[in-house]
Amino acid sequence: MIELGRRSLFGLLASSIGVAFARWRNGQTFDAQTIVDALLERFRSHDLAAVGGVVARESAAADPDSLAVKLMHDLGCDPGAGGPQIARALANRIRGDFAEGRVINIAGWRLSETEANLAVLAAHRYGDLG
Amino acid sequence: MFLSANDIETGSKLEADIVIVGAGAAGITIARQFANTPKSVLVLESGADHLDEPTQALYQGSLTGIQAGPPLDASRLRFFGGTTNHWTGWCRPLEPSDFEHRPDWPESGWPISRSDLDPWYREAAEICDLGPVNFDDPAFWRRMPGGNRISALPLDRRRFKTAIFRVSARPRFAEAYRPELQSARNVHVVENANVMEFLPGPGHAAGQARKHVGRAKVRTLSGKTFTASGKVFIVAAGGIETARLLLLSQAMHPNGAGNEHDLVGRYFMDHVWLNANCYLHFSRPNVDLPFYFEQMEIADAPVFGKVASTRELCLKEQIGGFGLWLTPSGGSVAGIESAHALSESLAHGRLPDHFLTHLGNMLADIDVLADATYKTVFHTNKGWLSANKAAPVTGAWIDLNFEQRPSLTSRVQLSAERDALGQRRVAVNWDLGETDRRTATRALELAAQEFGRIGLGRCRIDLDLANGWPSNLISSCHHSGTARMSDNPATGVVDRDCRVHSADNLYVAGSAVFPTAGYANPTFTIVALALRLADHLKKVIA
Repeated sequence: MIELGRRSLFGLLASSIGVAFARWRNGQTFDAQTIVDALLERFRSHDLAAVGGVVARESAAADPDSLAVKLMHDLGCDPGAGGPQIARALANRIRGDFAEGRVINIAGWRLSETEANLAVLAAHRYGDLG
Repeated sequence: MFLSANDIETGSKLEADIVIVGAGAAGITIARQFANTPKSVLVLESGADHLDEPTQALYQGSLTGIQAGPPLDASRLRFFGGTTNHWTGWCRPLEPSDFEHRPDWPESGWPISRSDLDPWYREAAEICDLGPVNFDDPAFWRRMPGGNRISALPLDRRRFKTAIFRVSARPRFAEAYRPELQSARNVHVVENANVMEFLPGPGHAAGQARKHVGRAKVRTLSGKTFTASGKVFIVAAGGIETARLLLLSQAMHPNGAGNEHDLVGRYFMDHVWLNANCYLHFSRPNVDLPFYFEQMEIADAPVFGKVASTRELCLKEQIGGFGLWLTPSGGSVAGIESAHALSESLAHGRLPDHFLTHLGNMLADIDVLADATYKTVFHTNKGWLSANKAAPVTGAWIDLNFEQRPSLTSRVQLSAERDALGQRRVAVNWDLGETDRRTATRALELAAQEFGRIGLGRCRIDLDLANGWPSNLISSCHHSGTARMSDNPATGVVDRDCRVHSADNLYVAGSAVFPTAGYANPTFTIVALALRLADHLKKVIA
């Protein structure tokens, strides 16, 4: 297993999701790819991409487009959903992941599947699939 | 009244209504219940009023199972006050469900219920000077003066709870109660008195099914020998020494007093403590959870909470009960992680990969390591670093302590080695089984899920049991289970009144009688059970 930059991983995840939430809360609307871009634009980090690379290599969901669609489907959001709706859905989905044991072990860290999928998208976006 | 066995003439025959072996939490509690009553009480204590090396050395023995925790002559204290002389004072009753039989653990179940013991828990709270008590409702403490900073985590009540511990304001029983026993005319505390064995009374030979203790044979390290006879005898010598004394009493039965069914010494349990195998990185900086991070002084005594499992969760997962201790961490965790890696590798006789990197991390974080070591050694959440508000809290190390499933193979036996009195020493085979491994691993996984669910943060778990238990496993020194309680003589050493099934006047006080031990610290329950036993004896010898 890859050892992550332990101090950066969660800061990156939290800040990226936070940035996306903030933009959604401002009423902006995104399509799936825009969501990915929004989630990823502020954490151009090889650490996070490396995490996603691990997950991508270990999972079948390696195609970023289908993963983005799956993510939106899991969130229960229409492609044209507004920011606040997606923000709530994302938070609920992550909470539900943990409640129902949909948890992935990445180098010791226990992430929700949704979080891990976001990391995979990051890996694809920045071409760091190892 | 106190006297030294060294001043008693060899061959003397002491007599009392009640003979108590051991002056720890249980022995002192029972003796006090009879102070200034018409009943005469004789307390036989191996030590005196301070730690004495030759006496303490009588506790030496071998650990043949899990090699964890302090040696046997350091985990217990053999002088007046017993192990309360280093007791942290943490009090919490066992859960009501701890007394119940659980279908997946055939060896579980007490013959008494929590409600049976509740009246004595209330009395124990007074003896331990707990002040106001509430063990399950953080809101109760938030309403108290000084409790306004308390906020309880929004845990899923089906799976987790905030378990509240009250800290005794009077944990040193020796200091607290010595004057009272000193002034009680009917109580004689004989120090430096080592009970060697119990001897059957006249007409009660070893072959008889129902036996009666006639005398306790006593010896001092200076060579004095005498006997003590009584109407009833109570062994209150701790979870290991109680078993040892019963096993040594082979004049009562060839296998030892009360050991007709080969149960004495078996089912030895402890609370397993895994130190910092999980790091919780908070979702936001400077999370402040004082109720879980520190001991809050409320109503003249400290109180604190920890995250604990519910019975529903334990049954669903088929694991033991557990508690999670959060130690706030600011700054780097690299040093501690490297210390873990180094410790694990050295335990397996090799240097780890990137040895110099690990060494560098440890040196760079030496202050964090010293802080963590301090907290571990003194079992406290308050280190000097965590008290330093300049270091922002970014996460918390999680310590796990959990209930061991009782097991026949986890046991205390007599070894071939002998102590200075010529008595066989003990060999303790602390044996943890598959259920315990599952408890350790699932507890941390479930904690990670719950802390993620409530948005507190994300956990990194560093626990791999593939090659056995990690080197940072610690014994909580909560020795219990070696003379377990059951209504059935075939499954327990003592009955629900703590009387040895096969002897009509021999009782056991203390954690040795616990059939299961839950996750709470045992002393509060030990005191409650001692009070209950004292009330029973008042009827028996009225």
